[in-house]
Amino acid sequence: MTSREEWGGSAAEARAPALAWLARELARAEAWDEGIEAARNACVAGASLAAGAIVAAAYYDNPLTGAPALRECIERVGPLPLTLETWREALAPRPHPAFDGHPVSPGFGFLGPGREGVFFAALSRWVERTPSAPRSRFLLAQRAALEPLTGALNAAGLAAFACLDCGLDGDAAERCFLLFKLESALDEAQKAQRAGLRAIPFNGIRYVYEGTLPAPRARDRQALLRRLGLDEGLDHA
Amino acid sequence: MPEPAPPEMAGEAGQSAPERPELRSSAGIAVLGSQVAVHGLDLHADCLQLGFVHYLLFCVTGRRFDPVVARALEELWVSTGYPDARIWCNRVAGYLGSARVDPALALAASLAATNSVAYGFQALHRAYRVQASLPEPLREREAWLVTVFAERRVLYGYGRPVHGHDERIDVALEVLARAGLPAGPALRRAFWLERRLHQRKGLEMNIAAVFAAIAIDFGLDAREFDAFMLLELTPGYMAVYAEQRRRPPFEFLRGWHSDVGPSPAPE
Repeated sequence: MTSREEWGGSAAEARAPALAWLARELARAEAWDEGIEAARNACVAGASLAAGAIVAAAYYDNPLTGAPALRECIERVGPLPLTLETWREALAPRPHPAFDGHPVSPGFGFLGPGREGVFFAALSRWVERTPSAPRSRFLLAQRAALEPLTGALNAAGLAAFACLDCGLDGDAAERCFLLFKLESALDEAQKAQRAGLRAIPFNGIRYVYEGTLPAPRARDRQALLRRLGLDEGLDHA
Repeated sequence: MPEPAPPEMAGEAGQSAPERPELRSSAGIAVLGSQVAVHGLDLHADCLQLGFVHYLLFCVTGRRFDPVVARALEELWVSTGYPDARIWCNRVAGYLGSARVDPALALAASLAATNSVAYGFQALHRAYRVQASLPEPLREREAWLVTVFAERRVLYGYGRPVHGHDERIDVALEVLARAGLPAGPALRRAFWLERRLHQRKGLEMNIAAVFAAIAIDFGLDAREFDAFMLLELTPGYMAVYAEQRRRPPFEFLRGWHSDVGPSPAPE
């Protein structure tokens, strides 16, 4: 059965409320990340919303917390029996080329300080509202044993577990994740578009240049204008 | 001359092959395994010495330019490839490099963000329209300016949001002077307008006006200008992107939020 067929009929109807819940969870401000800021930057100088969509789609294609991580998480967890040892083995961090060979567990880690519990909390809410969520329930039950190995659940991980519980395959889950993440990003991009450059001022951050700063080279504007025939006398030519 | 396209292949006995869609082009053809033609020239024989910017100019316009002109345009490009991560489109590259997004997507995203009005490609496009609308006869030009003031029109290419003085203008003038290229009529009109705006409103021109005027003097029309200028900021994006790829992931402005208004309330 293709993912398109899976989306059809009553299965899709049954899934719709669950996916709407996932969309709302990913849209919560506490679930936001720097993809939101990237999308705001895309539109703050007056580019169209399409620029925000392109930037956000690119951001959420990142291999560490984006769609590739979601897919890999689904691939690793999807076929597993609910036993701790198989999960420990499947979710053990592996060297990741995008992280210079450092070990990564897809769907886990890379959260900012103080945000480690955000997506586990969301997964708890998911389990509360979803009677049949075997993988999510198992992850939460084994959190104490798995989190030291994997790191904290991130947005891609939350989406991976929710989509697995819904019976979505990797293709469908990737589409959902991108669309849901773009929803908030585009909303914020439009706000930035309306706010304009004052929202993201050039000098609004403390910029520390760590390189060498050569002495500035002075140029004589008036001499250059004369040399090119652009001096004042042209007004009356 | 390029090889003729392979003949239509006959189908199985008694069956005609499905009709292939026709695509007409004079821009070029890749005769794979043999040669490539670009606007009638042999890419691998006639174009390699052009340099990348001149080749792009040729691809966009179908015309070869005086190498001195092409080199001057290349220097103007270099002069505006700013690798400062605070610039809005470079910040996009910074976020994407930090997140380890593939460089092609990061470049496409940065280009998309640069298609903006306050700065960037839309600003350049509008600056070109301003320069192209300036009449040459002085009397008509004065009348044009009276109308502009009366209608309170925004003159793209004049004024600069962050800092009123654009350091690239002197560089552009120096590029032209060093190349031995005198100012053309469009550039003279551009400076005439700056003097008027400076007298009346204290506004200086920005580099978009200079680029647009030089392009007009060099014979680029509006569409050619739009298409040609697209890669001028690429070095800046890629400098920021590459640096962030070297730094730990997600460090770029982590946790910083711009002020665009209230966030959605929690449910």
